[in-house]
Amino acid sequence: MSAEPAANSAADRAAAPRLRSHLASLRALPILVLLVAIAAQATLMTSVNADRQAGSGFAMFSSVDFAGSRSVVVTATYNGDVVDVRLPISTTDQVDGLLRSPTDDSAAQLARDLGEFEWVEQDGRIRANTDGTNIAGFSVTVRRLTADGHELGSEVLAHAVAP
Amino acid sequence: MTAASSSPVSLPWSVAAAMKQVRTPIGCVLMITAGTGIFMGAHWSPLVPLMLAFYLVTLLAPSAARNSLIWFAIAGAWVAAVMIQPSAMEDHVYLYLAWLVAIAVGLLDRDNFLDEAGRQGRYLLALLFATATIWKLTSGSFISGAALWTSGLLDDRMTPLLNLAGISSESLTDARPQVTAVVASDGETFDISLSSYSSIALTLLALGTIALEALIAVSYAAPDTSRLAKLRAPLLVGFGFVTYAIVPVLPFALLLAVIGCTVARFERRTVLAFVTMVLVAIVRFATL
Repeated sequence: MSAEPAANSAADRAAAPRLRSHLASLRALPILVLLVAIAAQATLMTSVNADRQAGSGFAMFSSVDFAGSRSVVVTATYNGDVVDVRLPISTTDQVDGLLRSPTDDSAAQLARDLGEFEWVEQDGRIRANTDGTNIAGFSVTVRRLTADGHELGSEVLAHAVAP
Repeated sequence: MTAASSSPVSLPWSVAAAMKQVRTPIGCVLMITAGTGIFMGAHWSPLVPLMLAFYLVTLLAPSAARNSLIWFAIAGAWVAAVMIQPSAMEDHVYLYLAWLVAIAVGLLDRDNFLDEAGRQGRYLLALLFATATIWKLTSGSFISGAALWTSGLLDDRMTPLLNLAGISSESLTDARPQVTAVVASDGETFDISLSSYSSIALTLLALGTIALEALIAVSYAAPDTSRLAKLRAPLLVGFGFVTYAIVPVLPFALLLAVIGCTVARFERRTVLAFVTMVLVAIVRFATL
């Protein structure tokens, strides 16, 4: 590696004179940027159970609970029976969002949106089909893994039932 | 009229002079950091052409790339990216953003750039690894090895690590539908039921990870005159070897390498060690 060239040129020195005069205070800026990002993610993780593997938390692989280990369970009452719901592909982004940041409000929104589709029964489940019928009463539950030593269980993170 | 007797074509910049600047420590930091941004652009593709153009600037017009304002502007573009597409961003993007700001601040006093950027890099790495350590200590499922087992169950890249701990790929395949059933219903449980060897191996792996990350945090937080400071590069390179030989996150490896080299003031052996670490990530990525 060659030696550094001579000191800054006059043009370089004039590039950011105002900022240069604030160098002492700007020195705290990089660490503040990272600190704020970490604090924001930590707040989201503890308040709305945001995904540990995403965002600025640096919490990768630290827990059994992350978006990939969670589940969204959707059921509905169809012809008097409670049946599982096969989610339409168009709701994929909504479901991903629920897995990353599950809240009762976002679960309720998905339950309401499912009511907009028409449904048919197939193999003990219902799936969206334009020749189907409208039904109501969708139940959306987001669950996460828990661990007690080496025993895995699960608990509810968010739940909503559309009227 | 002045004749350009030595050069028939007058270029706006001299290739030789540009190459000379690129080969300095500052030139390397700027060029590798800008290049790392191309890979970071995988998180939001509109930034790829911007970072590619910026990389070319650091390579072909290195004097222009030493303007602090340009680095603040690039950092601003990344702030916009994390605001527009937060769900696509991972933790190393935020470290990259903070490092861009660190470079911008360092370039305000270019005569002392390596001192300033190195100090900023130390603080950033100390904070990053301290945070990672705290999450693992407080999660409640990391020290037992349950978190590593679950990660391996759902992320194929982790399988070789679990195999080393005596956990077969077949047992993971068998467990997958059972764990899926546990998280889909109320009241069901699943016992990971590891052999005593696997149980001890996973716990030691978890404790070793915590110890390594905590030591990295402490060594980078310690003053340069401390004995711990001598451990910085070996610990960080060791972390990179272990981590990226399993889960090859190339942008993160590149970023840790350029920050680690800057903190070490581009000491030759340290640079070689970090280059090897990045090569490990590349080989692992290519053979996934």
